[in-house]
This record gives sequence, structure tokens and C-alpha cells, in this order.
Amino acid sequence: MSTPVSRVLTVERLRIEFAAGQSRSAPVRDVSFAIDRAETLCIVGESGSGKSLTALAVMDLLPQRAERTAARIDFCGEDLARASRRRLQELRGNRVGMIFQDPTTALNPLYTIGNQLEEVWRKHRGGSGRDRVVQLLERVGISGAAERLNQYPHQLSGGLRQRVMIAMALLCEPQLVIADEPTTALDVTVQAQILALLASLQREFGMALILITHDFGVVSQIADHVAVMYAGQIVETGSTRDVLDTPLHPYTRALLECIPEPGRPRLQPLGVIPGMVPSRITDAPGCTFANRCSLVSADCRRPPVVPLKDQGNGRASRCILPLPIRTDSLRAEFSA
Amino acid sequence: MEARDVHARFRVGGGLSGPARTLRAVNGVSLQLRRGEVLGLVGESGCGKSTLSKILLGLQSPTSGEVYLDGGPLSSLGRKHIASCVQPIFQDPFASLNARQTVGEIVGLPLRVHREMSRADRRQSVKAMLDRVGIAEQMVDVFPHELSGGQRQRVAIARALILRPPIVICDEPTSALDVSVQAQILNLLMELQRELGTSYLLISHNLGIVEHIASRVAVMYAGRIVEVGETEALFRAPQHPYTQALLAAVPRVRSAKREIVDLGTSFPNPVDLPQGCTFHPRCRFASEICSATAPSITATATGTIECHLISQPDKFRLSAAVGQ
Repeated sequence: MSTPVSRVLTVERLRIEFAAGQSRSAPVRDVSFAIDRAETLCIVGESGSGKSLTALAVMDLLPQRAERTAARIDFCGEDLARASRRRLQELRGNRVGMIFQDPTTALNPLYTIGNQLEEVWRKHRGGSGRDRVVQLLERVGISGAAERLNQYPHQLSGGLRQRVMIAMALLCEPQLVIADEPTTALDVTVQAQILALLASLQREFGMALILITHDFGVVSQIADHVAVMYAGQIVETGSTRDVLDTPLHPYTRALLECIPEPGRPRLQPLGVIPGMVPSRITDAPGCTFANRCSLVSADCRRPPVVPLKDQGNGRASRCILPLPIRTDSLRAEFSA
Repeated sequence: MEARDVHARFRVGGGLSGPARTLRAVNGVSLQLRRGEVLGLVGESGCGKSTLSKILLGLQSPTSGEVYLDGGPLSSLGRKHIASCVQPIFQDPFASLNARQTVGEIVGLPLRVHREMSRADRRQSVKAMLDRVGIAEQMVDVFPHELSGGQRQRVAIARALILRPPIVICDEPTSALDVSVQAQILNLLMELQRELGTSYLLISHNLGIVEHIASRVAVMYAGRIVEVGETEALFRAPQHPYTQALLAAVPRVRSAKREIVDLGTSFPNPVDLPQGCTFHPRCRFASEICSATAPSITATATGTIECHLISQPDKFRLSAAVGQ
């Protein structure tokens, strides 16, 4: 299979296992995705879906007791699954930037932000890089950047701290940025600013962006492609408007019906997914969503594990039912 | 229930960190909660929503102003009386339930305090209430740590409603929950509200939720209510520039990417509030008068607004159009 030159990251058959005493769990199973230059991929799912573990696994940042296997983690032609620790350290913060959810804990409270930003530059490029740091802080919308360098994280608001994190991730002009719930801790007004900032920086630097979120609104605003995860597997993937407007997988559809949104009749009951996300996830025959699915049949629980099936137009869904199912009625409901 | 010109001020600093200053968390709020309605209260973090909710629950006295419950001032009512009329549902069901009490004890406590009934009767009422919120009878003797987040929030709802209080204050009732569980809890809250005729004050930063279940919405900014209106009118045509910016900032699933209103500078420091209209440093339509004098409350078709622009119809129409 030929890979386009613009391909930045390819992950194939990623699996993460945890051993706890006698029992083993596998919170991430058979996860494959790819992302091109200047593209945004959102990985969306509820808690426990394995989305954050997937993000951490790419740069080998998983907790020590996790076991990661993958057929391929290819970053710009380099196989990260077999890269040395030293090599990964060279890449992190340099060609791959990371932004984490909580900017309060991701910054060291004992060092000034200037100190922490310059350290990244010193490590990867040498020299103080003070000018570059100031330039980037201004680019991410921090006024009086030169004075801010001497401030400590606690002196900044949540929005400003997240901007510092973004500046740090972008300092060395990475080809790939992985952002795990970058706006979840922030107010909607600040969230809107941060998302707009990420989009404009992407236009400017052309980096590929993987954004992990639980918020379909965020997906709708920023993503080109989306992968919906449930209980450790990608259950549906495709271009954002396709997936959100005509979801194929019963889980995606049910989840979208849970969200209170304009256009939905007010005061009416919201869609409900009975039961809850399985807490300990292992390999099970058939479909992992079968226990909560409204369209379940006996076939859904039979082996083998349901594969992610290509549905054309760059879409794929992990369901044995013939698709698409009654997407028209859903559309009608919202076009009113 | 009605709040009249409620203020909450705190003294901060003093001693080594410099002279003491006054933090104005709630800065003159007048708000009515009508019988049987769901009133949404929205605003950014730090705007005073939670302080206001504590005052309405009678857990904190206002520095000035008064809250009236059925016409009687809250300050003259006993703790027990207030608790039997106003009950809270808090954000984090992992923190709001006593870890050392069973579900039955937690839900039964209000009955033990407020009603004289035998142990067996109480247990029966508790089981009936738990059944009503979707918790199986067998769960009555388990401890909170054995429950999921959604189940805990159901227990919290059972505890709040077991006395059938006329008013429930829901402070971010679903923000700790996943989307699929959130929908279950919201449906339950809507059902119970209709069944029991309870008034809810629904405090949330999630405007989608407020739009879905509230009948009226109050928008709070820097300790003041800047706009109140009926939900449909307010979401269709927000009038205050802050409401417009807030609504525009919400990412919607069913709409393509759109332009947002950049509020520029950050939320004002409640220790050092701007002169005039507190929103003017971030407002796109601010003029001289906005930085000089505070706007007064003006009636609108379905509520009130606090903005100078309301008296300048030309500018105002422009602003309303942008908000769409």
C-alpha cells in the first residue's frame, strides 16, 4: 500500500493491555487511524472509551504497567513502535507537541513560564530562544508577553495557562500536535477562543492535529475527520459532517440523540442509552455495544469480534447490521 | 421565592498581603423564581452563580438585601423550615454523599429530621422514592462507593425530593456525568418536575441543557443579572451583547463551523470591577456612557435587560442581528 507524502501519522491495530493480578483488561483494542498534514482528527468518546490512552500510546507515555502492541505506528516514515526511548524524547515537544487537559497540573508551579518554555527550546534547538518564546506567546494571544515570562503559572488564569501550553507545544513547529481535552476545564467563551486559535495556528503552521474530546459540539466546530470510540474500539469513523449528520453506528446515533441541542423539541425526553459503559473491558465475542443497543439481535453476540467495515466515502462502521439505517427520519427531525 | 437587591461581599487580603479589599461576588441581584417553573441561571465561572445559590439555600446570609420565601424574609425563618422548602442537588455526586452512610440512611435523613414516622414507614418511603428515581430496592443498604456516577446522582435527587420541597436548586447537576448518563438524569429531572410541580433553579454552564429544560433563563455576569427572558425568545434573539457572545461561543453539533465573538480581555476581577457597566471592557458596542454610568434595569418583551444599548435602537438592532 502506498502512503501519500502528506501522511503524518499512521496507527495500525493498536492494543493496550493492563495486567492486574490474575485478570487482564484491554481498554484499547484494534485501533487504527491515519492523519495528514494540516488535518484535524477528533477522537471522541465517553469516559472509559480509551481515547486518552490511545493519545498517550502514540508517544509511548502510558503508565508503566500498560503493555502496548501495534502493527505500526508510523510518524513521517519512522516507526515509533520500535523507536528507542532516546529517540522518542527527541521527538516529544519537538516534532510532536502535546497539550493536556488541565493546564494547572501540566505546568510546573515552581518555575516561571519563561523558564519552562525556554527549557523546551534549549533541549531541542539549543540557545535560549527567548525571542522565539516571546514571539509565540504573542501569537497565541498573550499580551505583554515579555513581562509574562517572569510570572509563575498560579499568576495566570486558566485560559492564559492553556495558551501557554499551546505555545509550548508549538514552539518547535511540530508536524503533529496531540491535544487531550484542551478546553474541557475552560468556560465556553474561552473555549471558543482556544479552538479558533488552534484552527488559525494550524492554517499557519500546517501541523496535523489530533484532538481528544467528549464534546460533539467541539468536534463539529474543529474536526475534518472524526473517530468515535466505545469501550476501547473505534466504532465509527468518517468525515465530520458525514458522521454527525448521518451517523451509521447505533452507538453514534444514540449518543447524538442524548445531546440537548437547538432544533430538538424543547422539554421532550432526550434519547437514552440504557445501562452504562462497561467498567472492565476485555475481548468479548461479537459487538461490545450489544448490551446497550436498541437494535440488538442474537447475531450481535456471536463470535468473532465485529470488524470495522468499510462503508465507502472514507467511512467505516463496526456493526453487523445492513447500513444505513433510518438516517432520513433523524434528519427530518432536525431540519424542522 | 424572590431575591431583592442581594449583595454578597467578602473581605480579602489584609495583613501581610497588603490592605484588605472587598470582593463583590454578588452585586445587587433581584430575581424571582415562580411557582412550578424551571429557571435557568447561566454565566461563566466566577460570575457569582454559586454564591447566589448558597444565599438562596440559606447557607450564607447576604451582606445586604433579602431573599423572600413565600413573602417571608429568609433571615427570619428557621434553618429547618428553609430546608423543608428549598433543597439542593449538587454538581459532584462523589463529594455530596456521605461515604459512611448507606443509600437508605442518606435518603432517609430528611425524613428523620422533618417528619415523625416509624422506622419501618420511613424505610418504606425511602424505597418508594428510590424506585421513583430508578434505583433498585436492593440498593437501599449499599454504600455510595458501590454506585456509578449516574446512580449517585439519582440518590442525590431522591434525597432532595423526598420531602417534596416546593423549590430545588440544581447546581450543575450533570456536569460530572457522561453524555449518555446526563440524558438519563435530565429526563428524570424533567419527569419529576412535571409530576411534583417543583420549581427548579437550574444553574449550569451548559447552555444546551438550559435551553432544553428551562422555561426562563437568567444570564449572570460579574455578580449581576444582565438579562432575563423566556427561553425561546432569549435563545432566538439574545439582546444583551454578553448573552450574544455567550450563545455564539457554544459549539453546536448540528451547525457547521461559524464565527465566534472574541471577548478579548478576560473576565473582570471581582475585587476590582470596572466602572459603569461591568461588561464594557469586553463589549463590542461600548460607548462613552457605558464606562461612565451603570445601566439600569429595563423591561423587555419577556423579561429584563441591563444595557445602555436598549435606549439606542439603531445600534441595538445591529447588535441583535449579529447575535443570530
